[in-house]
Amino acid sequence: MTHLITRRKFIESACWGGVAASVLPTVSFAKAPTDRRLVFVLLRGAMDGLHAVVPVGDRAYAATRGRLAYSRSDLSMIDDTFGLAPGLSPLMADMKRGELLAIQGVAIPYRTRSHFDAQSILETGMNKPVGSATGWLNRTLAALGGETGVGIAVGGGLPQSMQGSVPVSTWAPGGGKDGEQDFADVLAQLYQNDGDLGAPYAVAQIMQEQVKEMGMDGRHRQGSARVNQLFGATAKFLSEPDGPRIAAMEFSGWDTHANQGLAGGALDRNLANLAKGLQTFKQGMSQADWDKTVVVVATEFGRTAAANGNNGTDHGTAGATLLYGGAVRGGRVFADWPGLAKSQLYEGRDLKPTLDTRQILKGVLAEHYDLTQRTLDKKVFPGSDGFAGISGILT
Amino acid sequence: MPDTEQIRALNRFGLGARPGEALDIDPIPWLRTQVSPRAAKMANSNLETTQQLLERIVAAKTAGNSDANRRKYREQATDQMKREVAAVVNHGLRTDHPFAERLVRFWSNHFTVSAEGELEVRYLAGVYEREAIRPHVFGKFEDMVLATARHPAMLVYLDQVRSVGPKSRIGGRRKSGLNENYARELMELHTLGVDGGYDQGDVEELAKILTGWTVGGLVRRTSKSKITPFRFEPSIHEPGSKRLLGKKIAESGENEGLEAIRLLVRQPATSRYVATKLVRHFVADDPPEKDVETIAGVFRDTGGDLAQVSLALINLRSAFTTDARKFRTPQEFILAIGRALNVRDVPRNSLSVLRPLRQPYWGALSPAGYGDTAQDWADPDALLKRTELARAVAQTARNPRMDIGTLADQVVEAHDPRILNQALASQRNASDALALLLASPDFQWR
Repeated sequence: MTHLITRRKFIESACWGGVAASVLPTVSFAKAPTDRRLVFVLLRGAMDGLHAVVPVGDRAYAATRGRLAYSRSDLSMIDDTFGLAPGLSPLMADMKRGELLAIQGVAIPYRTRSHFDAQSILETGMNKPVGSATGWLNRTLAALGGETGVGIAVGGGLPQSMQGSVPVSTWAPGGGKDGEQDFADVLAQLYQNDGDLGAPYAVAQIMQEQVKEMGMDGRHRQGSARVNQLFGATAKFLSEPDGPRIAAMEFSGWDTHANQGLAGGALDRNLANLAKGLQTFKQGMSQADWDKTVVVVATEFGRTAAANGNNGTDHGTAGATLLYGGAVRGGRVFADWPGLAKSQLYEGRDLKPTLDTRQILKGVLAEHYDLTQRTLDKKVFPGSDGFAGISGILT
Repeated sequence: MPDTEQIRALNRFGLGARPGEALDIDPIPWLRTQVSPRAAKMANSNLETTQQLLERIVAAKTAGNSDANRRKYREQATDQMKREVAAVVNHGLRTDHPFAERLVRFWSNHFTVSAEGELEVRYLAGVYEREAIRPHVFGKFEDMVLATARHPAMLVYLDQVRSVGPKSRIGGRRKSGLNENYARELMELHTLGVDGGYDQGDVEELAKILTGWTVGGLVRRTSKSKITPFRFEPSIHEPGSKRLLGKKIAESGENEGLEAIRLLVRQPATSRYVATKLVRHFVADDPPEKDVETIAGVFRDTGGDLAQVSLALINLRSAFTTDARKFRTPQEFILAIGRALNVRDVPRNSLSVLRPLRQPYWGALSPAGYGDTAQDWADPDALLKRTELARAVAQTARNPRMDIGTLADQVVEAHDPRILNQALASQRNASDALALLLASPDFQWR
């Protein structure tokens, strides 16, 4: 494949002038260690899970939810209790095919209503906030052999989930002009001498070559067009024969303290954009690749069960997670449903957590990548040895 | 050749060295003279006041709900934003008080409002910085908290204008109630920090305390009242006494909020939280504990006197002696390029690069503001985009009237000056050499 050549060419150019090739051991270029794809989509700001996978059949739903209650006829019902929000209804066909699994009652293991602490815990996979911790996706890459270029973050820098010892690519729209080779070589040499920037710059150079050949859409788009663009780009990267296999994406705009609305409202439009993006991603993958793909859509926490004073919701606790992909055993809602009556709520206000996010992630990693229980307990999610992943959520 | 201390004063504490500047300055006195309220002002600003902009907003919003009117409102907000950005960038390029300006940027980010959401905030983000941040950069922290709390940009951005006491006169009648958003972030992000010892009960109590803090003439329930940036509206204020951090706050209307803010800024957690962020900004991504203690101590002992705190930052020897480096954020990178080239006016279009670089002015995607560590900015894609920008700038810039190697000596603290100079000398012409300097790893650090 062209990229093997590209990478080899890169090594030669990077060693140009004989400057310390020893700075490069973190960068290796073997073939991708797996053909199974994983995408982690983080919805920053706390997506209201009760407004996405809607428990309209819960007896207390309408009374608890108040002005933000959907009626059954608004929803695409998955079973007697749960329906997909109108914005997610385009995914109902995938749900029926068994390629979408909705999980309810999920929370990180630490109780906080701070976006930033909660995102950090979700991204590091730790028991509590540790600012400097590496990300669970990066540790997964390490467990798979730690090769450069197997991980990529699309759309916005390097999220904490991807930070760590394994060099990870990043790509976002904008730019893409070609530099002149002489200039690039000298610059590469300077970067090799920089202890902090050497590795990311080396990855950048590989990326540049790849992206050039892939013909990416680098224009600056906004709103739903950007969501689509980024999902399309991720599909392209993951489809490269020797390209990345694990991707992180993120979207903000889910912090709906006011006017989140019902069908066609602000939150529902966001969900519709997400659904469209997910479908764009699926369309961008070959059937063979899609069958080996899992997309995890997660958020830092859920929101209050009741509407607040402004037709919105405040920070809550348990929420919803979606698994999407040809490798998912879906077609259903997975939940140990605690109920929405006041007495059933956490602190009388939030959906009670009945699943630790890491039970889902460990379940995915165990089956998708054959990672051992020991690796998952000790390396990927340290401090989680008390429990195994959920089994049976992948095909 | 300038010494490390001269370069660090200009790059780490300032906004980037200009050619020749480093040799001229005596670092500590140069920094100290900038600790003055006048230095934090924006020169010759012809921009509107909050009151003027608010009147324009209300006029635009009450003009009728046609598509044409909505489009016009959006265009006006975006146009105002562009004028504000141009003004603040040009000021950043021209100012002879770059340390004061760096602190303006720091505090503006600490009390982030984002123009990415509501159009009111897009209209007001610039004037918010000019009127709520700048006057207090060398004043009292408490006054800055208060100024941000009472500015319409913050009141709208974090939904405070929407919060209604459930038992208030209006709350009892209409189906409206509390909105916790601002109350939570005021404690978590502006004062105590997330581990600062408050709980969900405190968030709810503070939200009650602050009900009634709103903008005059902007939102539905005050739309008949006079247009004014801040107004206390008794009819939506939650009655009764409240408890915050274990202390009783007696019912006293608007005064409850003032009392609460005074209580929050005096907590030891606040001095530690603010000190940690400042030391991270000026010393290292992992702030040394000793320095945090020093700054927190000054903050506490002076009752949050930010002039004294700023002087204490200059006196932290580790900022000048440590090997730790700070990676320039995209905004800092662009200003540093401009200053290194003695540019005084940035053509507007060149700022569009801040969006692909993920740091438009007043555009953070969360109320925590932009990140302040290398991890936040030094990813592979970002490094490539910086290289492209450096090449584009070097192709159009008027070449500096000096050898690029000499320029390098005067504007960066090179990891290895010999290697950098060899690389610069290997370029075919001055334009390529300049591009290489601006794209070099050395130029990315401050």
